[in-house]
Amino acid sequence: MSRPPQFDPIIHAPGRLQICAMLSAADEAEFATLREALEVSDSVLSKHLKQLEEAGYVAPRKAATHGRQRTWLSLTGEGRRAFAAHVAELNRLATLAGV
Amino acid sequence: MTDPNDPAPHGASEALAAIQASRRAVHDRVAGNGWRYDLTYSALIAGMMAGQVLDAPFNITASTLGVLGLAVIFQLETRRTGLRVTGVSPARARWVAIGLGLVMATVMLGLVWLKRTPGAPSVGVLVAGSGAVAFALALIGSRLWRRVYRAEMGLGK
Repeated sequence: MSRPPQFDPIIHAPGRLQICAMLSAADEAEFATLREALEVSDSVLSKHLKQLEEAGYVAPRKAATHGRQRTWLSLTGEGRRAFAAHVAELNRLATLAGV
Repeated sequence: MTDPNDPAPHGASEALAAIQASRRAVHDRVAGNGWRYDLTYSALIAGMMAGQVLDAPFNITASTLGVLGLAVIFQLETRRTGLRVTGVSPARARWVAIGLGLVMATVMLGLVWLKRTPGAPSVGVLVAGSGAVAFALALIGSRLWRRVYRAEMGLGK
């Protein structure tokens, strides 16, 4: 069920916008991949992810690979809907600004 | 909701451009090994399909090895990219994956029927023919999936 366009201040902050955009294009992304793409430290990325998790938009999953624990992140159903509604609102605003 | 690590909220156009850039980064990582992955995937599918022409236990062996091979290349790709992209998650691209699965199931059933039909071509011809057809279909399906995925991400065709 798609939502009407809706601005979401949690998603709109640049770092979190990038995270949501990346996760919307994949099933899951590894923590290190997101950190590399955003060019931020572990703590900054963790802070962004915590806010998205608290909003119910992102879900972490721990998985051991070659004896090392890695964190994989994905958008929840709620997160996908909220991000789609946010993008729709941005498109609406951009169209209005272009008129 | 302010964040000391973030600059001030930006305009809609800049935000859309940032979304596009992030999606492109994901796409470029996934597409980096695209042809090699698709060719390997298609070869494994071809082996699984051609194996169905053979009698047990060779058909079962072909299916088992094919499934294991697909799992291995998916894991290697996931490790290489740091991303997990299954064929069925993007809303529109998933229909390409589902369609490809249905086509392959039809080919498989057709092969089982064909090899039991009186006057069917020899096993060698069936293996070569079904392998070639399955390889071509899998490769076309994979490339089409990438095209639809790319369009779905708003990155053009």
